[in-house]
Amino acid sequence: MGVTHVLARLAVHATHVLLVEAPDGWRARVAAEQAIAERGWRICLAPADADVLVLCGTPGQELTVAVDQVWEQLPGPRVRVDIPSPQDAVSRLEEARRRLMAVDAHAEDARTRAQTPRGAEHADMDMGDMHHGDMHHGDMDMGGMDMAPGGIPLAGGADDRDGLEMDELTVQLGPVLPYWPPGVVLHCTLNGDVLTRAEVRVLDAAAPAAVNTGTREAAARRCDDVAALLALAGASDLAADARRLRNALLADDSARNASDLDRLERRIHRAPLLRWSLGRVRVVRDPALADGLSVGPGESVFDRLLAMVSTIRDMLNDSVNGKRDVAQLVAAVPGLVTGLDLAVARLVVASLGIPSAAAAARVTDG
Amino acid sequence: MGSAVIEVTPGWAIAAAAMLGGLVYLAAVFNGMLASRTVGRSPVATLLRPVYETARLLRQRRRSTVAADALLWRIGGAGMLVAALLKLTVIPFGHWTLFDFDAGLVWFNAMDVLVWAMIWLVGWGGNSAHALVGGYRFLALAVAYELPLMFALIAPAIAAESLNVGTIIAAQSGLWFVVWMPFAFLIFSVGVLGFSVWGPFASALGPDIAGGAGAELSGVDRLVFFAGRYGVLAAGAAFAVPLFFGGGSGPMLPAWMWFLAKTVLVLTALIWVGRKLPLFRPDQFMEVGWVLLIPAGILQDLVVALVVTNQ
Repeated sequence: MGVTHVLARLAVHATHVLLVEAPDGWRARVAAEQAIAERGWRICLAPADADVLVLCGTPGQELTVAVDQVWEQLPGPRVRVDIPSPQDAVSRLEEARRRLMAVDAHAEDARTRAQTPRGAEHADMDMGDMHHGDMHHGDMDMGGMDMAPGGIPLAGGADDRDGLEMDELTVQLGPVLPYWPPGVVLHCTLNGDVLTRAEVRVLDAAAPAAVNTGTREAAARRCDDVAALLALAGASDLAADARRLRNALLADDSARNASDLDRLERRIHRAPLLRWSLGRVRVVRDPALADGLSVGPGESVFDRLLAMVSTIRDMLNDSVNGKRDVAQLVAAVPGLVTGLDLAVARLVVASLGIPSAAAAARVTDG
Repeated sequence: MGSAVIEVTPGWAIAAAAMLGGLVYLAAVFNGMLASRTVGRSPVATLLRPVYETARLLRQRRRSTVAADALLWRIGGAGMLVAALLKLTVIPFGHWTLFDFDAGLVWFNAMDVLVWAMIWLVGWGGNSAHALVGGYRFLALAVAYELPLMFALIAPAIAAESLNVGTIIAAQSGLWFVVWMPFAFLIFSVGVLGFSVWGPFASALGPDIAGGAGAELSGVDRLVFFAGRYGVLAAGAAFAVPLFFGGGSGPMLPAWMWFLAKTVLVLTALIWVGRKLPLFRPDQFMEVGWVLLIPAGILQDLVVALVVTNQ
């Protein structure tokens, strides 16, 4: 027992947290991120790496089901806490720390939880495992276990974009995926890493309660979208800058905001490799799709990045341009990403800035 | 052609492994310091971070996935560390080497090709779409960085007229190779970042695919895989020293100290540069690798060959 306790005491300093954001959980998530950084903990990308699962905001029914399935994938010792509103962040993470140290409770959890990973009917809402529609164990009448190891039917084949036959995987992006618009799910078919078909769905379709975002918070939300895009592009230092600016905007630190914003913009302009990498990705390739997305024809992801940064300035100067139709933006996603590889598709989706647009739309609707 | 190194008994392999452990720890601390500086936290707090992380992963249970290919998955996970240790056998620690092999350079190259298999197996074994995509990405990047890397490795061998690492060191008694074959060194560094899945080459473990090839790793599997990743980075940095920086040569201090100091310098530079650059997508880097780096490598080899034949 001694060793276990010592390990637990050391391990808790390096706790990794998986954040799940409900559609109304943005502020809670930002507060959680700050509290996690305060503690020297880390935010992780996947349930396999997580010690703590944090649900930010109030989830609808579908998201709750998805989070329950992700919870099953945490290896353990595992702790789950909810942060419904930002002021809960510090106390709930402290609670998580205390519960992580409770060695006996985790031994009990390990004994009582499912001992083998669950099959297809359970695994279909998670982040990375292959998704296989409504397949249930009971329906496997055409080949039994050989055709469906572990309850997962073998991948079918289809011609890829070069006319070669490749395995076809059915994969779901969201709702639990870092830097992905909360509440949005993309059901897609992958050939290798190329998206050949995609369908989009919004979880818990009932619109969440309106949040009253002031211009400052709207700017902070836009800034968070910039951080997500930078993080996906692998520009982690710039993403950290954007998050710092976001926190300053929320804290109403006016003196710092303007200079930090200038600095971020300058640094993005001075990143030639980022420009080279993102500048060649066109957001909208089909001109018919461009209407109503407020994306200029031929605009690249890098142009979108710069445009997002300059809207932050407009928002701070109260000269916000026209509202964007979020439903239309979300509905356009499948058309934009079909035919792209996963990396480019993620960049294109992030460049649309859906989360901040959704928050702005809720203000007008509410 | 006399070799500048003495082969030691195999028992010293334990010391070599301990040295790799030290370098891995140092690399993890330095990377943690750079990371905590960006979030405005004191870098001092990261000194013990690798200890905490290790404790966390030792405490964490190993998790599996539905219908995982467990054997291949575990081989891939542990294989990075094995590849790093095998690389170390031909790298002289000052005057001493574990394996004074006539074709040491080829040995090193073979070990970094081993990394291809390891990352692919880790991506494949977890039976997870994101991990699999990570595996694909690594192979695509590997095709782009490996050929330039091979041309870069050939340059010191041409100059020393040998594939033996000791002989390559001896050939630099007048002038370090980095001075007159800088492109070979740059391409070599790109290759080291590539086979360590580090910095701009980390898209196989990218945030857009939830950690990619490593997405499903937990507990001790994760610990060994990521330690192995630092391991191949450290071994790559250590190999730059005999290849381009004259091995253990230097004034006053003993050779092994010079070797360590140079290794640490190259390692920290690689980590720092890696953090500054955005991710390369494989299709994009393919252009750089084949249109720019391969011709640059061949020209570098040609220049070296001309210099050697005209001496």
